[in-house]
Amino acid sequence: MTEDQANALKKALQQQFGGDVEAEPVNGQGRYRFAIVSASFEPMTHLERQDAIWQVVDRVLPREATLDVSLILALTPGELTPAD
Amino acid sequence: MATNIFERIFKKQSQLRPSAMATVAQRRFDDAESLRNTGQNARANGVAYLAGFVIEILLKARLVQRFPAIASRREHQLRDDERGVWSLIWRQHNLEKMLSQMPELEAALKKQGERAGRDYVADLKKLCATWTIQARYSPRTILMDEAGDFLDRVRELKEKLK
Repeated sequence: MTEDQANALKKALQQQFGGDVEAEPVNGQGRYRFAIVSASFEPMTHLERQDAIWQVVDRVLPREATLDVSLILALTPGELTPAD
Repeated sequence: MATNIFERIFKKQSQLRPSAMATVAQRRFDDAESLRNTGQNARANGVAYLAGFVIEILLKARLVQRFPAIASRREHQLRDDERGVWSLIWRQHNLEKMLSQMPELEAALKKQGERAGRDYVADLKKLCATWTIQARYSPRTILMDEAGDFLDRVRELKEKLK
């Protein structure tokens, strides 16, 4: 996907879930991974989070560009706290 | 003596075939299903871990199929440009990186999904992300309903990865 598409997805994810969203290129070949840290995930299982996230992906990106989403990690702030 | 043992161990590893790996994946899936059938929440993380392991083995099998020469080498025989793939096959558990080495797999899943009215690529990435989080970052104990959902999704997808 293009950088503009990655930024558009990042913005849409932030609007949908709030919290912090980061995107970073993978391998420099148009693939991007995303990470979302949001309290809105707290009542959701990990698969429910993924289902909700990919609805946004399908809404924002054209079909071919979705293949360039490497992974989207979804965490709550509490889950991000590093374990000792 | 030690050299012989290492030779035998690593020779065995390098002889692993994708079909044998698929068999191993099915056995771990059966293990996960047995744990699920206990209905005990205390076993739920084990279900999810094994279910994710099924995907990992199948992705590794695909890598072996895709890069047979690299997969069959011993570590000291590798060229620098081969180490990444070799490590993904025999050392690492990074599903995201495994997928990124096989764009043809994503393309094939995409085609199959279009025929079936499904998005198998997204399904696979959801499982990879979920397992990555659960296996590496979350100290949380999940419930069997969640683990069962995960296992059910793996059940369908593993058939596409075999």
